[in-house]
Amino acid sequence: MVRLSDWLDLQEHRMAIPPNVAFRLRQCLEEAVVNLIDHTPALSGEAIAVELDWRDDTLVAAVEDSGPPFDPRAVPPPNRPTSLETAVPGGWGIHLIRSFASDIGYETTAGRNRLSLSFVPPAAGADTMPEQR
Amino acid sequence: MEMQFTTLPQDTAKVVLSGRLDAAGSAAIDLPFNAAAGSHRHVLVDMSAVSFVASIGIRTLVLGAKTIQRRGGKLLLLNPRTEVEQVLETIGVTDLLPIVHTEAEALAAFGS
Repeated sequence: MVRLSDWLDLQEHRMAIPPNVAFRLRQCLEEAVVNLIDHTPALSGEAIAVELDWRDDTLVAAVEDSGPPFDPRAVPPPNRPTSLETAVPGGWGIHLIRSFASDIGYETTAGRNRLSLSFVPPAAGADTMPEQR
Repeated sequence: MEMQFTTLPQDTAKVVLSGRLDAAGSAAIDLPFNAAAGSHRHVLVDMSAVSFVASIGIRTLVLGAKTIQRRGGKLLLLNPRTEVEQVLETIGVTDLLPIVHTEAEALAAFGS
């Protein structure tokens, strides 16, 4: 995870990723990669590949792995915890990905899963907060 | 991720976190954070120097708050940055991890 974090630091600079997109990107990639490592113990960090690419003004991140297929779009949102007594941490990472990515794609082919996350920068002059969905 | 810890009145531990509370950051502070939380009634977590919080870091805070509440204390967050607060709001834990903006406000809440 230190490698992902350091790599993102570098890419933010190299790809001139604006702060709002950088924040949402880091949140989503951190959550996606931690989920993969947590839920697929046999999967080493080497088996996860992350790519970033600007497509016009949209930043597209792809996370590829060779673990069991898992489509995060199919997971129901977690219940909002109502008290500390009953709060059970879990399912928050996927909820954050769905909240902070502009769009999510997922496909699995020949044993490789590919999660695509796109991030549209806020319009100039717009509120800098990402849209809440 | 770095953690410093001082004491305040009313048997309160003030824990100052700085850096990224991501998977690596959570792993680094889990033990010292729980030790500080375990030896005081209340905990004030200064979040002003935390630039990023992942769900795994929020889990550490919520589990700490659960433990403290079971002993009759409270855990409050001091001055999280806008983006960190937005993550807390998106997950829906701002009622469980209440935010204060000054130490005085925290001590008033602990005393109530």
